[in-house]
Amino acid sequence: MNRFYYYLIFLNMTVNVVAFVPNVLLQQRFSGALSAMMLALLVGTINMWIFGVCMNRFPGESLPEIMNRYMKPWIRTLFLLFLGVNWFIAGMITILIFVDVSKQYINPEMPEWIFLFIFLVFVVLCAKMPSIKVLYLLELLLIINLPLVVIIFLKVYTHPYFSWDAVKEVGTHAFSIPAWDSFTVALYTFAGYLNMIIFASVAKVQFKASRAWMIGGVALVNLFTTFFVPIGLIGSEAVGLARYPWVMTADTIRFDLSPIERGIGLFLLLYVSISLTSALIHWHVGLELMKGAINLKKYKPKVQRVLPWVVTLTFCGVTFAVEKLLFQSQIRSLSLIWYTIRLFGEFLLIFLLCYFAWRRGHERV
Amino acid sequence: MRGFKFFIACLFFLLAGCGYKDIDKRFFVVAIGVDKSTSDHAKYKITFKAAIPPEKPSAKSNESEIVTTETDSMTDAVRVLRSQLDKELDFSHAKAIILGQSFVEKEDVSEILDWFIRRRDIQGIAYMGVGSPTALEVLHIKPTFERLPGNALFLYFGRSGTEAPYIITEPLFDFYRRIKEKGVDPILPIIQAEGDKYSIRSSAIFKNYRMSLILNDLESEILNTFLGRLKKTDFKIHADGKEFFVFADSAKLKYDLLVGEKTRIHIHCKMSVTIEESKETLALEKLHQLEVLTEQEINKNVLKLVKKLQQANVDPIGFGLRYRASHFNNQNEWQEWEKIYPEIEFTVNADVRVRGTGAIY
Repeated sequence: MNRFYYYLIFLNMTVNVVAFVPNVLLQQRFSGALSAMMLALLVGTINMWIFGVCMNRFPGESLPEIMNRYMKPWIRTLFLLFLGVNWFIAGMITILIFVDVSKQYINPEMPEWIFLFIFLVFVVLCAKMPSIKVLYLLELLLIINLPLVVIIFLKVYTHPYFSWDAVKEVGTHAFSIPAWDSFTVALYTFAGYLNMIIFASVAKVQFKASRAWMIGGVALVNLFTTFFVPIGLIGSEAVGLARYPWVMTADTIRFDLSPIERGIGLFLLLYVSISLTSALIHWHVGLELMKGAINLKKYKPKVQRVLPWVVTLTFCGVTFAVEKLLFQSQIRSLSLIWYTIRLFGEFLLIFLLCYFAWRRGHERV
Repeated sequence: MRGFKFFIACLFFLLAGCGYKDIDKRFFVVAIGVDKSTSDHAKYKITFKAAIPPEKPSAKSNESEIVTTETDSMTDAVRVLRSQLDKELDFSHAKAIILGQSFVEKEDVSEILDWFIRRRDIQGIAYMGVGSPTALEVLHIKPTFERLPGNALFLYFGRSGTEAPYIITEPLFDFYRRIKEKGVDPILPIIQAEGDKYSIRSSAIFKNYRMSLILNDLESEILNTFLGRLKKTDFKIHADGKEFFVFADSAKLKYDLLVGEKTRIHIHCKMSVTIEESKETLALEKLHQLEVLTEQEINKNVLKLVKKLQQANVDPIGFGLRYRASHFNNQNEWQEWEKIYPEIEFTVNADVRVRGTGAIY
């Protein structure tokens, strides 16, 4: 299996440690988060396996090309537009949360629009690159950030003040009814593989079914870390009060002999890189889906150059508007609704892919 | 394309003037003290110890500026004290938070803690302690052996300086966690101001957000070992006509919560010791007897400590949390625990191995 597949999955898992996901899970830690996480682990691994097997039938083809074969144009356009908007919103949520964290921890006196402007310039310019270059950029950024992830991982698990009793205490709530929000949010951890619908055209991958279980194992460790480490370090009660539990967890780490003693410095560095990389990948996929939806290649070259800019700038405008008009709490509640929509989109996509794979199988006969 | 590159280069201009002050225009606060106010019109007496940088970077000086004010909240104090100093107050190096003893005895600690946790620039790993007799006096101390302002206090608590057994290191995040958690009670070391030196030999345990029990030096040492924060320690053994001191380089104190008809807590201690000082020559054959004496003494002291905690109804070690962690009855496990705790039976079993007696018998 191609290394790019692993990169995409790993990126999504890491970004979920820093973004919105721990907050939702920890708010529901006494009312069903743990059982929802276990369920999401199972469902996500099965989804990933089905996706891989179906995509194997279409080597080297991205989703718009596959849909070109078997679906009527107007359903195809509609569905691809729906997916494209979904991906844009995913990137937008990452950017908005990142702006909030930056304002809270990095520079409280800088107005939000400057943060947004700088990030969006980076994300937009990189998202417009050809897919293979985006994959190389992803590889580079992940290699730079891997040591930071490893350091933080080691430091939290060997922390002298880590309270395993608090972890076990939350574990005793494992048999509550699964909470829906936790389920959708934990399923999002797996969504990295969905990015392959666009990158399959440049990264020729043969998905091996045996690898799905290995990835499931890594996802288990990731979810466990995301959920339990803040509980072990901040306490099972106080963690419900933290707005950004993982940033507060990083603040408990002490690097005794380093120039910056607070772990929060290293963590925010990691956070910046990972958030921007994730937003960039999501917006690239969204843009390519929209290009595929309207079959950009059929238009004149001038339109081919201008239209992606129009779409991207529209979305930048939407991001600015959302940042300006909505409070963080409203952004959070709307994001939770979006996670549910995304979940249905994912299941619909998997279902459609199964249908296509079945058609393909019958074609050969 | 050229236009874009020029545009991106222009983005650097956004960096100017977004809230960055020169380092010469800042006063770094290294320690913060909170006392109970002596007057009627304010609630707290807040003190900041700000570092004064030396004239030459190579000169070592521990000069600092102490400013204090009496207000009702931390934010008010910051506002008032900013008008007393000519430079901007910067809290990014505030590594010590001292609470006055009269303050923690009477007032609710969790109220003032809110400011420290809510602000992003107070370190979560800042050390906390109780200042005796007041935080102001503790902050005024400038030990002659201190290289940087406020540094002596940090070296006491960080494990890179002294590793004295009585000093309980309590970072801000751990104190806040214990305040909020059900099943663990907060603890803080008591920093005594003695002339121009600090003396940290006892600790305070909190209950209901106020100080409720003071432990002496031996008890603090045992508590420190219990919490897993102290590995190297020494004990005085005085029994059976013999008096000697043992040094343990790895002491483990663990406990099991055994639930049955009667809830019991069984504590086991494993230590490997060498004799550090003795009043008489120790024969090699008698090593086993020394082990037995050490075990008895440790059993006695540990039992005394946990019984004292039980009688005062405080739980700094976290027995309550362990109980909650091992029971699935989430609705009323806390009420159950509050009924059980005063009745728990403690048993201690120490396993000591004397490795050697030092350079002489």
